[in-house]
Amino acid sequence: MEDAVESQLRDLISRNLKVNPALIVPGSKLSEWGGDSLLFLETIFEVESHFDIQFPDVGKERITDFDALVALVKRQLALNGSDIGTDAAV
Amino acid sequence: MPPSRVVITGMGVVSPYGGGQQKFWEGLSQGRSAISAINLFDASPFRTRIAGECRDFDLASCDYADADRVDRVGQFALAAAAEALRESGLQPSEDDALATGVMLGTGIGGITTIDAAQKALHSKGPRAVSPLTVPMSMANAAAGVLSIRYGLRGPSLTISTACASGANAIGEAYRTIRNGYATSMLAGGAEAPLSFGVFSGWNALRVMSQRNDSPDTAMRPFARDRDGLVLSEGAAILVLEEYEQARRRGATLLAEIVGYGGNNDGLHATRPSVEGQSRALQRALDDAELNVGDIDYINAHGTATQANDSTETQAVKRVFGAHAAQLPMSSIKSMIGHSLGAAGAIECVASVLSLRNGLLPPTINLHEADPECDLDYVPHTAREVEIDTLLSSSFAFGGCNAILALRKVD
Repeated sequence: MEDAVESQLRDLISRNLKVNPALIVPGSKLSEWGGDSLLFLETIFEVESHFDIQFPDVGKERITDFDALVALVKRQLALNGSDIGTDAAV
Repeated sequence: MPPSRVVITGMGVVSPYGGGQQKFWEGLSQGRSAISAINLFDASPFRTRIAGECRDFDLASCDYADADRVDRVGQFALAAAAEALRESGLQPSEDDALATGVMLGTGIGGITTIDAAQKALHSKGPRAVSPLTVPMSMANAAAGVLSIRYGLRGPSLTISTACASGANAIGEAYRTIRNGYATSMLAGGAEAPLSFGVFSGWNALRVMSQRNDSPDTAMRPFARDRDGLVLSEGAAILVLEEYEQARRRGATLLAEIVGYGGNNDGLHATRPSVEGQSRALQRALDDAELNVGDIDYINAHGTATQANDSTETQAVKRVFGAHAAQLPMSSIKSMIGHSLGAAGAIECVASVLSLRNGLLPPTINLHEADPECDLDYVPHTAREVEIDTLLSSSFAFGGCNAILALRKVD
């Protein structure tokens, strides 16, 4: 079962990049979703705002695929002591 | 090669009456006020709590997929441009696009975005500031997005001359085509100044009406009891084309721009000058090769401030002499408020509609004229009269003046 972080990220990315959510699946690359560097920057900003986390400035460049983004969000949530649950309704 | 003639083939408006020319002209023809209590932000700390808001603005009217990444001022410009291009039927080919440009007036630019960034910065710190703040707020963002949306590759310029921006933009676009630098231009003005921050500045300036309890009758240009302007928002975009091109493609020629006069008083930041305004009016007449007796109507600047209305009246009397007494002149700001950099363009659209419909929109709320304002301001109700040639006046802080001369197309 898909967890809440993945689901919320898919929703957020598809809305921001105006891309079909079906394309945002584990293993998919950011470069496959369309959009330019400014839009990715804006999307990262939206992700940070949504989850109330802050990505480290070093490491953002390693976000090249969906899995890396999900992992980074979960890591920051854990560092913050936040738990949005793995099966929370979204 | 003789200078090209320049015609208007399409117009679009976003006004406090709602989106589009139809609602705009209905409201003006009926002499109906579009001023109401402010909804966009908490106006309770201010002396003035009324404005002309574009309340039913529909993002879909922008006809642009990324309109949500454009500041409100650019959204207004996009919506007005979409309507103008629909009316014009202009669809620039790849080659034509190189000779099609944008000239957009805005006094302030993307201030809604700047206000939001400031609020986020001061309450949450730098990380809360959106990375889109710069591209959304920069002064040329609205002109840029019009060029981008329609793939226009000619000149794309932003004119910022406060309350004359829209008129200056149309005037400069007219010159651009007349002198052969482009064959078509999207020209006009857009403003979205109804933000907490901007409003605080206008509040401090003490030039806004304080008739909060009667918004409909608050703005009273040329009246003895006028107590200032009412701020508003909106946009107007016109499609300007070289005459022969427009005829060849069978476009409807809505009106011809026959003259433009722009200058600066060279005197004071906020105090208007009879001398400067007179020179601008005369320049427009000279540019159009018109005599004072040729002018049938003036769409006035008419801001209902103490200084503007008497100065504007004196300037018209100085230039037009005896003809001034029989020259109707009205202020549509009495109904829709003052939209700063958009006003000159919105008034240009109203002027074209006056030419085409034989109807002068009124100056409402003019129950008793100021003794210093003794011309025919078309009080209370619209007047049916066939007109052939008119001027549209805009005067601005910073000393800028811009006058457009329009005529029915022969």
